[in-house]
Amino acid sequence: MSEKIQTLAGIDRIIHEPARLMIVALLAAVEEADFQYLYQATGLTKGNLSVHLSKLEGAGYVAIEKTFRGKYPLTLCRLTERGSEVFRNYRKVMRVAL
Amino acid sequence: MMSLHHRSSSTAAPDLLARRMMQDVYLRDGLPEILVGVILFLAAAQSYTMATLLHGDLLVLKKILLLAWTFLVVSVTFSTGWLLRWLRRRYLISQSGYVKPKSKWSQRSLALTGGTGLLVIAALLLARRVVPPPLLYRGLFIVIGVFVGGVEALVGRSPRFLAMGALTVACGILLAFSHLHLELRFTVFYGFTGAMALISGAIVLAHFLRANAEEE
Repeated sequence: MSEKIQTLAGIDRIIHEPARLMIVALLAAVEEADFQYLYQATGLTKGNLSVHLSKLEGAGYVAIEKTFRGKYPLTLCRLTERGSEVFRNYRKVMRVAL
Repeated sequence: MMSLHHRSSSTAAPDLLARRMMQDVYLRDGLPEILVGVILFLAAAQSYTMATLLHGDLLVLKKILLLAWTFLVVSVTFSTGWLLRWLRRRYLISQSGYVKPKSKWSQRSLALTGGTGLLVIAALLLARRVVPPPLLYRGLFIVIGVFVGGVEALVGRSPRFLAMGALTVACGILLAFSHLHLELRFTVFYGFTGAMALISGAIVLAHFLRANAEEE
C-alpha cells in the first residue's frame, strides 16, 4: 500500500494543479480547441486561463497557434505528444495510488 | 458557472470531468435544444399527416408526399451535428469558441447502435403478434416517455432538463392511457416535447447572447 502511495511523489506537478488538469483533460478529449472554448468550458477568468496555458506551453504539453477563421482571430490550443504522454501517465499513477 | 473546487473534485477521473465540461459547453447556447425542437415538430407534422392524409382520393400522390416528408425528417435528423457546427462557426464563434472534436463514431459504436436499433424493431414486430394493440400502444408510450425523459434528464443534468424530462415522462404516461388514434398520440408527444425544447432553447440562447454581450 505504502509503495502505491509513494508513486504520488513522482506525479507531474504541472498537470496536477486543478485548473491545468481541467485544461489538459479537455484538450485530451478533443482534436483542438480555441481560447474562447476553453474559457467557456473551464469557467476560469481569461487572465487565469492565459497564465495556465502559457505554463503548459512552456512545459511543452500544449501547442498554441494563432490563426484566423474568416475575420475572427483564433488562438488554437492542442495537446502535444509529450502532453498526451504525461497525461496518460498521470491518470495511471492516480489510478494505482488511489 | 460551476466553481473551480467543484469542477476539480474529480481529479481521479479526468475523462469524466472533461466529458462533463464539454457537455456543459455543448448545451450552453441552447442551439441543440432548438434543433431538436425543430426535428420533433417536423416529426409531429409527419405523424399528423399520416393520421389525416392517408384517406380518400389521390392516395398514391399522398403516399409519395409522405415519403418525401419522412425523407426530410430523416435528413434533418442526420445532419443536425453538421448544422449545429455550421451555425456555431458562422454566427456564434466569438461567443461559443471553436472546438474540433475527435471522431466519436468508431466502427464498434456504429455496430452497437445499429444492432440496438434492429433489436428494438424486432422486439416491436414480435410484440405486435403477441400483445393486443391497445395494450401494446399503452406500453409503447410509457416506454418512450420514460426513455426520452430519462435521456433528457441524464444528458442535461440541470434543473431545466430534469423538469423537461419529468414533463416528457408525464406526457408519455398520459398518452398511454388516452383514447386518441396512434398517429395522433405521436403527434401530441412530438409536438409537446418539441415545443418544450424550442421554448427552453430560445430562452437559453437569448440569455447566452445577452450574457456575452454584457461581458464584451
